[in-house]
Amino acid sequence: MKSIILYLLLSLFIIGKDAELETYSKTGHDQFSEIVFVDDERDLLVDMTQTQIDKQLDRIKAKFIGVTTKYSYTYKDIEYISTVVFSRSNKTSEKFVFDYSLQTVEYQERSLNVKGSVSYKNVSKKKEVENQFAADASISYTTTESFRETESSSMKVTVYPDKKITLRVVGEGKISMGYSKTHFLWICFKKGAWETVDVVTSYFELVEEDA
Amino acid sequence: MLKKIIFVLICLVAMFVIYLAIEKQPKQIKITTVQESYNINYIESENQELKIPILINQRNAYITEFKEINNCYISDNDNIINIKIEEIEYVEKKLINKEEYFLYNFYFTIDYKDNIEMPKAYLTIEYTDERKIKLDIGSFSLYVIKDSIYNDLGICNLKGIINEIDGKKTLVGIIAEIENHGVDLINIEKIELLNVNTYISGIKILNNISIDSNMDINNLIDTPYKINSDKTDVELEIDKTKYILLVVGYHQHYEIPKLGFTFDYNYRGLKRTFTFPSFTFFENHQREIPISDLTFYTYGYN
Repeated sequence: MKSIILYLLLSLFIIGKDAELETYSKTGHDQFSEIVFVDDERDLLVDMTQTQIDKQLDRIKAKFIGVTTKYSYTYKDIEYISTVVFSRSNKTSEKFVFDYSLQTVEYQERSLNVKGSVSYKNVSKKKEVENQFAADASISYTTTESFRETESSSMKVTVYPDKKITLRVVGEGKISMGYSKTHFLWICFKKGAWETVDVVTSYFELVEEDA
Repeated sequence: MLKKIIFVLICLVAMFVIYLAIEKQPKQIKITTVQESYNINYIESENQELKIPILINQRNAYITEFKEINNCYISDNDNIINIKIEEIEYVEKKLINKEEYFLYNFYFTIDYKDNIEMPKAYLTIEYTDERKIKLDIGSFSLYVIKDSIYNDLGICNLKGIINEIDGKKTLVGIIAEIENHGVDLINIEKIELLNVNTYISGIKILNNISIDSNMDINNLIDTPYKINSDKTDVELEIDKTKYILLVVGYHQHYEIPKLGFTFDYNYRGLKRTFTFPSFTFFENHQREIPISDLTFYTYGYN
């Protein structure tokens, strides 16, 4: 009897796993609410089925040791709508003024979405997108901070009754996608699909709407 | 056999010594910076911070010795503004013409309480041993702004039109919805952009502002856009609300992502000013600077 209980307890430890549910994101990238391909129509990783991904992964041959990556496409132009930087609505009958100089924008210049067990370090062996732009005759000035102030000087915005003031960010970027597998002695240990979005330009927009 | 081994060893040691001698030879200090449109607009009377990135071809050069800095100023042919060094921060390594350069950010504070415009500005840093460096940093402007105390005029929608001109992301237009919050007509008599390099070269009344920021400005204006078109005086009547496109002209073509502006207007016979100190219209995350645009300065040895 004791051994049965012990076996059951051990089984619980082995098979027990916390339920995991990722935060919903329409694009698979938290900072973008919308991503549109400029030149052609393609699916984002978030819209691909597991069968489609498995089909592509099956095409990667097993190797003795190391990571094999198959690029589906690299640095395709996209336009994005970012999540809202800030929004202030006024549901009162009085107008109010707020100073948005303290507001900050948090975003990454490279956003990553991964499906599967593959890790980003394994897939990022190709040149970084900024290197692709760096010609011999120029130096690249890539801003690397991921947390920055939008404004250094203050700006007062008046929000009138039943109105909402929003600062939005839209822009252009480059998207890359591929599949990777990690092998050791021809045995696959990790596999998955990944997608990276590199922000090239951000355009800021101050908008007043009805609250 | 032993002689041969000794000979090879002597050769190796000699090569190593020569290598060390070459390595230890002092290298001439070369520095450069990207010319920018440095601009500060502020309301409060606090000291303002200025960041100037400088590229140096070696680390630990006297240029970046914070304790050795005696005096710093920004100047042109007519003006000098004293600035105070606050910090020197190493950022990263960059390759220019296959030579390694080290990027440092020099942080200064400015305690200057008046408007000033320097279309051609130089940064001078003096060191305790009487050495000094002088760099062409581009342009510099500073505007002290009076806080708007009136609420009769406001901007409720604002964005930029950004086009690529001569390889530079350029703010070619400002789209704004101006609102009259008062009961009587508002007459805008003047609009000024708060940067020494920019001015308004055209204005167009729009029907709506559903326009993408990367739209070609030539689709919005009647004559082809020119970076240095003549300045236009703006006069506008605002009854309730108006959508406008302000075309931005440039005296010197710099990448200016952030800009402030002032509206001088007349309301019930009273002259007032509405100020928008600064708005970031865009950010260019992958900017390319042609090396031909850089000026390299040599400043002796360490």
